[in-house]
Amino acid sequence: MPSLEARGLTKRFNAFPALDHASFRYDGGGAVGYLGPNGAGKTTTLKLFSAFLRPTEGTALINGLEVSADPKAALWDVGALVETPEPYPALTGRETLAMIGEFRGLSREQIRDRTDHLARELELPPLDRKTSKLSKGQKQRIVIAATLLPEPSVLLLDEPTNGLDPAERVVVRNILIRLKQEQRLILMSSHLLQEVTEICDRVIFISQGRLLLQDTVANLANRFRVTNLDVEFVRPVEPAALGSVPGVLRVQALTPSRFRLDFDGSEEARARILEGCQKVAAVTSFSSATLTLEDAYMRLIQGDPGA
Amino acid sequence: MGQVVGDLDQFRTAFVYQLRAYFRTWRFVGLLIFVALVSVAIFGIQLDRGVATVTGTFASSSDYLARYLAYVSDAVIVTGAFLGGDALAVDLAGGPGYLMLSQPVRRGTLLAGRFSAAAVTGAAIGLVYYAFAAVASEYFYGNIPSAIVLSIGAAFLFLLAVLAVAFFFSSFFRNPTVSIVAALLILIIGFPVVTAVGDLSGTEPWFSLDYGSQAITSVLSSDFMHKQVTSVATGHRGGSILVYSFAPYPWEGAVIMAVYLAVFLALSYVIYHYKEVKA
Repeated sequence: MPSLEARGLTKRFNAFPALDHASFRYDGGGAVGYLGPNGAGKTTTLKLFSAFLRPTEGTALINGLEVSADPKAALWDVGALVETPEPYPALTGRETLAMIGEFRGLSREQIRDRTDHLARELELPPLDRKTSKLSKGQKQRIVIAATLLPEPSVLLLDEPTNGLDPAERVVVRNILIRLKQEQRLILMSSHLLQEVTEICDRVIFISQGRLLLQDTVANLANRFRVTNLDVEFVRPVEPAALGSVPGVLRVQALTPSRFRLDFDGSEEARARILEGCQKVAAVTSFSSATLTLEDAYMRLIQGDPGA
Repeated sequence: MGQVVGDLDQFRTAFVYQLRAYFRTWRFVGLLIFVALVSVAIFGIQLDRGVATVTGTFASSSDYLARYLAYVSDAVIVTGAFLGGDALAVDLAGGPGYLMLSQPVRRGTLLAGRFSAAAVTGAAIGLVYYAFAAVASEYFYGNIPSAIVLSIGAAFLFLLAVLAVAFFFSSFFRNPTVSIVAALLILIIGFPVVTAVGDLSGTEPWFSLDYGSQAITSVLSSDFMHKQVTSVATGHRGGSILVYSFAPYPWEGAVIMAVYLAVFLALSYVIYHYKEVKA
């Protein structure tokens, strides 16, 4: 069963704490989204797990093996796509994939079969062309193919669709969803919250090197309950009349007939408020904003005390 | 996932693909052309001077080759600096390093594979120089001295030492171009200056790689002298100064080059092994 674990993982560059005592553990298949603003420590975390950096304190473990103690063993079943990797320019795409496959102990037949499969799935550029002749997006697809070629049980992905066009993004997204369903463990950073929502079932929020929150996407919806409602009446009403409706904590007039009402976010209060509003005047619209990962993300990094 | 691959198999993979990359680059072609042009120029000038002049100047084919091969160390330096100067820096600068260094391969294995590939590539280039030298010796003297084998061995050892120095700079700098230039400057200017200072001060410059490389020709020279002292008139109040000139014994040169190889390769390994990729 694949696993990823950070135990008090810390990385300081001189005195600057790029990652500050981060701890998490994930076992089994699934996809974990790693979210945070630029400079939050996402790439530093992935680099610590990929042996590009060594921790100042704490440990990074993959499948129970400490990365800094024995990178070869720890990374044996890992595919990492961190920062902006590029293939060696003097080699062709096919040679790049063959080299990675040989390092990973794949047989020639396995390399050939998987290369052919990935070439179709990722619509790879001509594989017998030197990679120095390829475009940036084509090189990236070669690198993604190299990451997926060994079919690792753990994938560390740093904004994996960055630099791809929309169609390519969809292809990669579908591959990641398939890999998740195949019980592989994926830790991916992304700025594309929609992408994280579609691929990941768990998320970690990080800001200024500190983990702010770890939870499932489903639980986030409860944790970040929407605490205001927009209500519209068929005619103008007095705000004071709404202030006396049970469950309403605050009233904000948007127009004479449209209001935003703060409440505690519970379903019971919502029902009571709807009932109360209908006694004031006929209601033409009654809605709360749908929580998106983006809302939660923004509220967290802005230090929303309710988060 | 494939079965766990041993370091030796991964070394072979690193070696094969690095060798393939080297032989495919313009750098390799350029170095071959450079060495061939230098060889042709030397041979051509001597042909122009004529057989009698050449054989009159050098008593034997060995002495002739000792002179002919005086430039081989420069060719080795240029070759070694260009092949080894960016061999590791290419990873530490990011780009390909982000693909390679996240693979389950020890960095020492990668270094060994690349070093071996650079050595083979450099040797192929160096042998072109020796091929021209052998042809010239056969043409002018009708024979090729057997000591040329020793010279080839010394030149190969020098190539390995030069590569070790170049790999050291390559592990130190993150910019491949800076790494190549630094290696070239140290090897072409730095070490010869150290050797010259030793000669001027009367101290045998056994600590200079450039000095050790003179074993490449000293194995061929029939009038080899380890130390020469010449009195040179200064023209100032009838004074004179003593000018020292040292040449290493072949074994001494071999030891100097071997020590440079061991020390700088070990330093390269330590730096490359522990260096973090922050770019």
